[in-house]
Amino acid sequence: MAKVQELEIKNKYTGEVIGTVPADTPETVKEKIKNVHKNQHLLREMDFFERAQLLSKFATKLRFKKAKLKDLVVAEGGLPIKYSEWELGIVMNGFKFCDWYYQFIEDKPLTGIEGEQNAIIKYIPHGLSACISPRNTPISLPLYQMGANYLVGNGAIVKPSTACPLTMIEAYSTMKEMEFQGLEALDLVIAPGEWAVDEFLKSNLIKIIMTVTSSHTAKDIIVRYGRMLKKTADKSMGVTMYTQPFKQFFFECAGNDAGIVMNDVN
Amino acid sequence: MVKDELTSQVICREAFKTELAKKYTTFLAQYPEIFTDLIIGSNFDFALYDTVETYDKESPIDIFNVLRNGSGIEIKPGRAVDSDLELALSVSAVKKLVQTKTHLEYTQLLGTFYDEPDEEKGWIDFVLNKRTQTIIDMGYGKFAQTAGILKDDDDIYRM
Repeated sequence: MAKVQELEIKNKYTGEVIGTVPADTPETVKEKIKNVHKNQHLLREMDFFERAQLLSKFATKLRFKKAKLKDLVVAEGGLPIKYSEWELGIVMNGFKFCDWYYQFIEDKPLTGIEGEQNAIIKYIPHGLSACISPRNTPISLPLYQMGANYLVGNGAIVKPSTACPLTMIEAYSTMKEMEFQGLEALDLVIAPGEWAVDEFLKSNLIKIIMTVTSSHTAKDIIVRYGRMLKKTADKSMGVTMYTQPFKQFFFECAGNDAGIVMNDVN
Repeated sequence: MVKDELTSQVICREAFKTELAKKYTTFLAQYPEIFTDLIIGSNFDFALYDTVETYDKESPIDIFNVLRNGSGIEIKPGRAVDSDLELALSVSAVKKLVQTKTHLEYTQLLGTFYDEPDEEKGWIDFVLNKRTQTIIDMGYGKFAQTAGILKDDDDIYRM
């Protein structure tokens, strides 16, 4: 069993240690993935609007803790006060009014060539999501990742940046304090280094990888996934057959790389 | 274009449970223009809570509703039938709000109670009973801005 490492989180302005957090190990990450996957059904026992209402109530709880959260964002993120106010504002308002997003996932009739509507498009939760967020948004991105998955009925494991995990830990604790329904289908992973991402890539229980990182990190993740898939290939029938289900990847790639647009893109 | 002046009416004043609710309704009746942006038929609750715990338990000490009618507003004790939303206010917030001298001072203070809620100094919150898009279409987004609760650049306007 891997030794538990204590992470020291520093105030980025003064260098002083403002908190220590026990880091996860490969064993604890695997356990969390298993538990969250097992508890996903709790989310589907509620409908979209019930989950939206709970996120709205959570937004209120966050607003009452705004001063504390703001100080944490500034200190551990090394971010300006106005920026941290903005970050908190967008996530609080986003959660307060999140029922607005129903228009994107409500059932829609599919219109045929001759105008007939014989089928309906239904949106269903895809499954457990592993989310990775960057150090310049200690709360908005990791909490959006968690909230968005919760809203649509996916379980979620969120890995905030180990440079600034305290704000997200505080937000998650607030959910625990209010006995947030379905919380067993959500969890945090605090893990330095790349090995946690490898655990996410290896796990068959994780269906979605959602990252907001630099372009280089995103490319590195997809290359590592490709290598992992290759190792699982079965060539016994004379044709390369991949034996693991494909994951869905949502990348936001921040960086100065030029975009490449394939010539068959619509 | 000159806007018609709105009128306000407080109905069944004796039925309010608390003096504070009576004071607040009298105060609000001075500023019906706060409700100008709501469509006719909008009806929402003002609920007074003494603590955050009673708010969590949905147990107000008093409640009244404001109806936007053709000529202005009508304030009545009790919850609205099919209320659009509930505006929850702490007792400490309402005590300070009724002391304000102008519409501007009132809206600024209300905004502070929303932006910087404090269990001792005062807080407000709201709970939507209808879909966000419906609430926006009824004029509550602009109402919230006029009332000092939401600012120009808040997300609700970008929706």
